[in-house]
Amino acid sequence: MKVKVNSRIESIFSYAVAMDNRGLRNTIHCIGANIFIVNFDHSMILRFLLRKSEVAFASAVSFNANDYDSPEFEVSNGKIIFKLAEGRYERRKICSPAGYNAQDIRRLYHKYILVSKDYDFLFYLSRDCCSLLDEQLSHTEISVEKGRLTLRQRNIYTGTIIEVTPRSAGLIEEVKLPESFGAVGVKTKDFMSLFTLYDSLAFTPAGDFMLVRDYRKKDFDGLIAFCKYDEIIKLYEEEEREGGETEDGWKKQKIRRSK
Amino acid sequence: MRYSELRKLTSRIIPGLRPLLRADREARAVREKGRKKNYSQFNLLLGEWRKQERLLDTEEINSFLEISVRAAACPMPFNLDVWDGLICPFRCIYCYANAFRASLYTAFFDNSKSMGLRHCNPDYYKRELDKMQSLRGAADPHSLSGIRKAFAMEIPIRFGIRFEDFLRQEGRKGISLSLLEYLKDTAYPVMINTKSDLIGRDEYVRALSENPAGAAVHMTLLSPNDEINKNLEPAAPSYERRMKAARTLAAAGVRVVMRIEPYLFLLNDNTEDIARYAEDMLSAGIKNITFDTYSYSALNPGIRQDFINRGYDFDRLFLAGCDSQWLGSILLEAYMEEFRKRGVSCSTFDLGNVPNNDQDICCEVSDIFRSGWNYGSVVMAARYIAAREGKPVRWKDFRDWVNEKGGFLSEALEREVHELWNIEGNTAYSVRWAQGMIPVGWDEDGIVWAYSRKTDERRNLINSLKEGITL
Repeated sequence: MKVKVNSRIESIFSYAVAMDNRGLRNTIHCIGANIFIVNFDHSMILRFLLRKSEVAFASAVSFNANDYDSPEFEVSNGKIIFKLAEGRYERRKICSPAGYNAQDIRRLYHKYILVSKDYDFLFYLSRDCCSLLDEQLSHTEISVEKGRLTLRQRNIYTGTIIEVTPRSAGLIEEVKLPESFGAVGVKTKDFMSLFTLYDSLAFTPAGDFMLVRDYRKKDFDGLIAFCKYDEIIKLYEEEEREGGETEDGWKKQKIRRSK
Repeated sequence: MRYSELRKLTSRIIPGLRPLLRADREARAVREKGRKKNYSQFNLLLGEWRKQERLLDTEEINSFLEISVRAAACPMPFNLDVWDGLICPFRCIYCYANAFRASLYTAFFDNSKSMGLRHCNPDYYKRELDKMQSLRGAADPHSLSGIRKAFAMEIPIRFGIRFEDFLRQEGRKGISLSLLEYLKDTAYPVMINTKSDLIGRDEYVRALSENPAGAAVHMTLLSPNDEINKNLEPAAPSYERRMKAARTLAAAGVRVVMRIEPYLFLLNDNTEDIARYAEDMLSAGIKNITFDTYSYSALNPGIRQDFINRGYDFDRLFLAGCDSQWLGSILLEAYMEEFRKRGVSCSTFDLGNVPNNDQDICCEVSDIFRSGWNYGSVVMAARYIAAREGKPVRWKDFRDWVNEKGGFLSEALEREVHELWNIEGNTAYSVRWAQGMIPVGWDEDGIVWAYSRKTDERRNLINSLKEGITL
């Protein structure tokens, strides 16, 4: 399969390269009219929809964002080959595919989207609020207190607290909020990175994650995992159950912990 | 605040991630430097292909005694390397020594992967130690420096600082044993760090218990929960085996100090486990324990990934227990208190807690060795200032006290400790981290410190952070 992408898709790929990665790999998964980006620690899955004028991917392709080298590439014998021409020469960068395949990512994504349909909280945030947050602080709390949306960061090095609340319509618009909600946490870098490509986004908290979407052009949506304020150090819920094996064959572990 | 309350509060400050899908990957402590096997290069001058390789001695460690690079902070920095290897067979996932070795050996040598385990030449060590015996008890150690001075001051020699010295191979070869016997015969004090129960075997117990200068064993054991231990230290002996070895040593009169290092937030801090641990060690006749928070050196992508592959949120435990030095320190204080209230003597190298340590030497061995220490270190400086509560303490007061005790181990070390006194240099080890330290003046040598137990920046931090949190 040979692919040549346009500048918009190139900017999506570049975005995946630029996202926080701690020296690990963000991955890109192209399938049909969808491009998924999965970040390095799997706390975000973002989906970009191709526009009508853009050609859908004939077959699925997954690669590591850092490998991305040029808008022209092909898949051959399971390898991704990026091609770049310069004068009378051509460069071919041959890369292995990403560890997960695009079909699995799409399936998982749709599963989460189905879950989110049971939730109808909704609020909008615009890029302005990011400049009020401290990118160096690992987490941002999201809560609704007395019907008012609050973003809060606790600086564990100095003890200071940053609170961002709506001043007037325009900075943070709120709709369909409960009287109280949260607090739930998100990784600050995940959250801020959403506004690199979009000025304003709609958010729907949905249990363990938040659905985010571009409500104007409707060509982007994504999932951002919540961070929980509990006393559990395990990353994966399925390991909380005792005995047996998980669906993916991992042994479940019995963990002793205080209530 | 009790530990359980502080744990809950900190959990409300630093959340735990729940990824959307598993994020397992191969965990490598270090990106190796792409060394090639059988690599040759054409040499233009010689006009021939030459094999390009630099080989590590895979059989023998050529080093000798050393003063630790952390001597500016540590009162017991006199180390002896017996065993070495690229990867320690216990494969503890939190250990950054493996990462350091991998980085060092694979960067400079072409055969590091085939080295297996190697050990020192004990005969060479003994010959060199023999040459230094006449220094012991020197009337004026000031004329000496480095390892000669440490030996003259009879600072206990430590085994197992960079590698486990009591592996199965040691049980067959007896290299560490022969050195322990030499130290016993020459009545030189010794202290061991280990996770191995080999140390509970008769010949090792005898070599330690019959040392007239005293012997101590730090038995690292993170939790009584073997499921956690198995995840964190996949090939190290079980809780029962290590506790049994510790009991045997204690019964023979060896000072056994249990060691929880690292303390890992939400992992080895379950209150039921703490109670069982304290109960078991006391019933084994062990009354001393030492702790530390996780080291910043562990912030390594491979170590992080190893935790993730076992389903643990490395970022959360690292943020709480290490990245914020004050937060990690106050958590450790409350954690230690859980042991203290059960009658265990507790100390730590964590500077925030050093003024409250139950012993001057954070290894909990102050009372068993009659030998010298590295008095010219930040831990000792913090203890010196704390012991003079409410009074201004100048650098020259401390320096004179160190000199009365034999002096700094080297001029370079004196300069380094002086910098740390003045919050310069590697500030992670600065005197200011010790809680209760207040800069009250300035003289020609820099900051004048005073100690007040009522001052604790860590409490101010936690009080600020809990704003708006209802538990």
